[in-house]
Amino acid sequence: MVKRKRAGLVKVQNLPMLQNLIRRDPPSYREEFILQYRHYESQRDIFMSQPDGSESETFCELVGFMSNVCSSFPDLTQEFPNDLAQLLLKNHAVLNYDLREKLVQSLVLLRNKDVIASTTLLQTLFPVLTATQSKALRTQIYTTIVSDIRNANTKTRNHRLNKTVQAVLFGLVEAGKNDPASTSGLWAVKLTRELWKRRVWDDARTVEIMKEASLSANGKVMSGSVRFFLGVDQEMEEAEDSDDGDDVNIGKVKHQAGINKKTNKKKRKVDRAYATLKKQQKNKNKPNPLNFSALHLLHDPQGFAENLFSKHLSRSNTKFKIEQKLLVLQLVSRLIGLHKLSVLGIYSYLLKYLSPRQRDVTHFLACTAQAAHDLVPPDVLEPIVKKIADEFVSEGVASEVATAGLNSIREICARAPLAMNTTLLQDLVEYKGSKDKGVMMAARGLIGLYREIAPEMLKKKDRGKSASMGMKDHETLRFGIEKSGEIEGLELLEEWKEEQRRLKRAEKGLDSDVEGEGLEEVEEDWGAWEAGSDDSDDDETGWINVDSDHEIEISDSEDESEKKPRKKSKKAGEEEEEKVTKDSETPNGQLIDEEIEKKPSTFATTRILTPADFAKLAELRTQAGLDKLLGNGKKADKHHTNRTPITNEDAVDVLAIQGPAKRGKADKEARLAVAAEGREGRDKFGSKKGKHAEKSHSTTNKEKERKKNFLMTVRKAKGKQKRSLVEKRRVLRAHVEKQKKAARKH
Amino acid sequence: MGSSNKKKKEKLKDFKKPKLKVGKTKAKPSNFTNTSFKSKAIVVATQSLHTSAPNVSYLFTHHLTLLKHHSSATRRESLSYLTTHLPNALRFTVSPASSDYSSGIPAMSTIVTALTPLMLDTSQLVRTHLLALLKILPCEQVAMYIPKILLFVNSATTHITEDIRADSTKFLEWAIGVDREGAFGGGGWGNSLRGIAGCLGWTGGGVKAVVPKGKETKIVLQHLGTLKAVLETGLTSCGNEEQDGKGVRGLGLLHGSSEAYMIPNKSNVYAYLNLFSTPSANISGGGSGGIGTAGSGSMAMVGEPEDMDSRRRYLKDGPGKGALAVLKIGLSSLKKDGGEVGRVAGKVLAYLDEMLEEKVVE
Repeated sequence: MVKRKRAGLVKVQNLPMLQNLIRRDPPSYREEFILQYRHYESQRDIFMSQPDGSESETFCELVGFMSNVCSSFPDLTQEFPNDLAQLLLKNHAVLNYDLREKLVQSLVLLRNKDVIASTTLLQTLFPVLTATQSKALRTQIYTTIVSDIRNANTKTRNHRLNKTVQAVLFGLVEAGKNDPASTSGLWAVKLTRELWKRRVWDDARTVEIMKEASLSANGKVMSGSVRFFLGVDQEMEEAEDSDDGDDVNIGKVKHQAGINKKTNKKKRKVDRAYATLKKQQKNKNKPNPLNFSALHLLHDPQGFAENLFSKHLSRSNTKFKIEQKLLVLQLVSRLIGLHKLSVLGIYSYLLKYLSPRQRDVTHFLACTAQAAHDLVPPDVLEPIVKKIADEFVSEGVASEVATAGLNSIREICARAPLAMNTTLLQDLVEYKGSKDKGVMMAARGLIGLYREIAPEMLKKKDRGKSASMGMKDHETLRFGIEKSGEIEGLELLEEWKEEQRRLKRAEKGLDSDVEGEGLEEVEEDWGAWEAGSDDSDDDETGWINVDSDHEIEISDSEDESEKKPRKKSKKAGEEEEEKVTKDSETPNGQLIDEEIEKKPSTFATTRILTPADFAKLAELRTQAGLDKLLGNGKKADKHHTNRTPITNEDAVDVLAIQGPAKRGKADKEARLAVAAEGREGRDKFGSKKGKHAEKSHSTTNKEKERKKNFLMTVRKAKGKQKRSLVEKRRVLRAHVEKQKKAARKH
Repeated sequence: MGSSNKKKKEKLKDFKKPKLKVGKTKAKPSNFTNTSFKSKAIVVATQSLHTSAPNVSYLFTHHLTLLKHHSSATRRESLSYLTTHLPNALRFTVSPASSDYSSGIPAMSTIVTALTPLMLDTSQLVRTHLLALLKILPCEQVAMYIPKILLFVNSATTHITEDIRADSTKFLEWAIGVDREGAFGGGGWGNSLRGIAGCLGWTGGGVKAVVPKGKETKIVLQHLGTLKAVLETGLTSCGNEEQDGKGVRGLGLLHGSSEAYMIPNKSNVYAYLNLFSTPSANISGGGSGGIGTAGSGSMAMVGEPEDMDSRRRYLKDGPGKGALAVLKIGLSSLKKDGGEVGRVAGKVLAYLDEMLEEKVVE
């Protein structure tokens, strides 16, 4: 910068003024700055002679000034940031509140001006964060750290910084790992969780920190990190939803800008609103960033689960409360289910807690279900099922207990079908006739489950039509048999594609059976890469088309059932094409079906499935499931394994085990509230009785008249004697007229 | 409508001004509550037996707290109270360190702590009063607080307000008068020289002394005077050694080196050991990269000059070289400008040269 000629000797009166001058023209005010730097130093020395002194205002002011302008004189102020850092590090316990806050602010300012690196800032703040007793300071530092790391990662991932910070956090966690009293890991857990939630950190290193923390001996640290594994992904989604919530109302902003006074600030506001809107639209089209849940990123889940179990759930460990143990149990069982681990100790451990008197027993039941998967030896699970059946599902227990027991047995058996034996199953199924709705539904659920996986275990009358018919080609369950991997409902998609292809070719007037022309279609398909881009409106609203006509009609030919319109919206004038489809399909239909049943489809190996394809797949699968439920003939029978698959991805829902909540005999208010629940927004049909009172207005004249004291009004009502002459005349005349009229009538 | 008229009158009554009559008691307000009561005896729980004014100690503490008052007039008043009463009171205290609580005078440290921040006071009058008060304080009692006081003096020499800077050298002059070694020890030597240079406007590398005019001349003259006083006290031996020798012999001690084992008579003798580490020492131990010529205030911690010879060496070829150069350039440029200021500057320059030459000759 060129040294500016000063118009006159500007007498610098105060620091803000000097700051302003320096910002405009640093070289000219170098001397003044030097003087102030020395003043700062002398003030610092004074301050250091009594750090806990009350007089810190001037020093605060100077620190603020220095941190604002020191970037203009980098040669003079090399020591300044370090100075501040040391001041904070050494004296944070005794410093005045204002000064402490100012020091942190100044350090952040220096970071924002790129005077110091992020690492330096974090290295200064971390020790203070863990050491300080002041809540306000902790909060300030915590938010500072989070925002700093976020800012460092906005454009691209700052891997170096992340690694450093993660190493520091890992060290924090590891330091207090074996000490039940140490809470130093707590901040590491909190910070990691926050950054994970905001998608700043989403790698295996982060998970490693949490893994270490969950093995900590301190209850708080442990439960914090276990909660992270159990619920952080959900939290992340919620956080994103809330981010979407603060969208701009562009119409409102524009309107206000038109009405209000036009200032630069308001103009900027409008610009900003437009920018946000644009960004949002851009983000909408962006594909969802690939992210794995924390549970998937775990390294060595088997070892982790074993460690967790042996460390926290061993019988010798008595320092954790039951809630904390339950958390650990949830995590361990989740891991076992998700990664199909074998931690055999957990099943005998669970056995202890499975009794109706146990607190939070539904959670324990859910954990049991989670821990079951098809690779667990059935002889380990059998005692559990047996115990649940004995304790929960017997004559003497309440219906809720029986519901929970049956539901949990169903959940376990859905994951590990071999845990059940025939006699027990047939006993349990008898509850289908229970008078209690929950029990009945739970028993029916069990029947439904075994109809699909092992109908031979049910009594003949319970098997149902479709299951009995499918019995002949149903292989018996055996432990450890892996089905060859396949994508559920892929054959549906393949079929659909085939049909579409035929339609298209028919449109062009070509022979529909010629193969090998697929290339051009494939190219077209790339255009519809994104899911939902070609969907019709009703798809997006989430409604499912249920064909009411179809249920009633009894179809007698295969063709008709095939004709059922697809969800894909069709353009007008495709009627005839459908006919063509019908014709072409009739000879081939049987053949194709047989082929599918024989060999696994090569569809997934020969084609690349787009997100649009997967969306269609999901849609077709729902449709097929629906068809089956409604009993839509052949189509449903053909793919009889359309049960929604149990994925071990999700946790077992406790509500599913509890069964439907029974409405107890609550007090009158509760009953009224329930009754009123369905009546909102129906004012039009209600009585108008109370309405008038609601509207606030003053009393009408009529009301006043009505309420007025009789004695006051009695004089006003004039009698005949007091009538004036004019009035008398008018009355008489009126009377005469009336008489005349009456006479004319007769 | 009789009742309505009555009501109207009642309403109007509120707005009528009550007529007061001479010799008659004022009418009681409508919400008057009679709180009088009758009692056979009245017992007072605590009773002050002082019939006269509050005691001395109370007054002193009161006025010391008033030194922080926001109104400058009050601060000045308190200062003048202290000026009139404190010296008399202090004369009767026996030892400087342990102040006599029976006499009701606050400890010297309290007084100093209360007084020193006033060097940075915005009001000119307060500062003048403060200087007057400081001057009449007994030297031997204040001496041990001089390093602490000097921190504030340094702060004043670098203050952003010109008036405070102008007055700061007066305090400096007073401080070196009270205790030379205390003022110049612990980095005080370099700091005070740099402070004066700063007051005279010589800070950067390209020193250009602004020619003082009118009122400024007086201030510059005063600064030069202080500079001369600092140099004279700092660079000449004023028989400190003799004093020491006399002290040891006068006490009639047996051994020549017994002095080393005696309780030292100045504060913070082992400062160089840095036992109570202040961050300043740690931060800029090798902080020569701080403010260029001006140097950082704490830099001197390493090679602090503690006696006359080392002070000279400090200027000659120590870390104070830069400061010396600045002083020389500034003084010679003032000298060139001539006038009364020039004359004085010339004298100071000559003295400075002479003292440094002397060293070389030795």
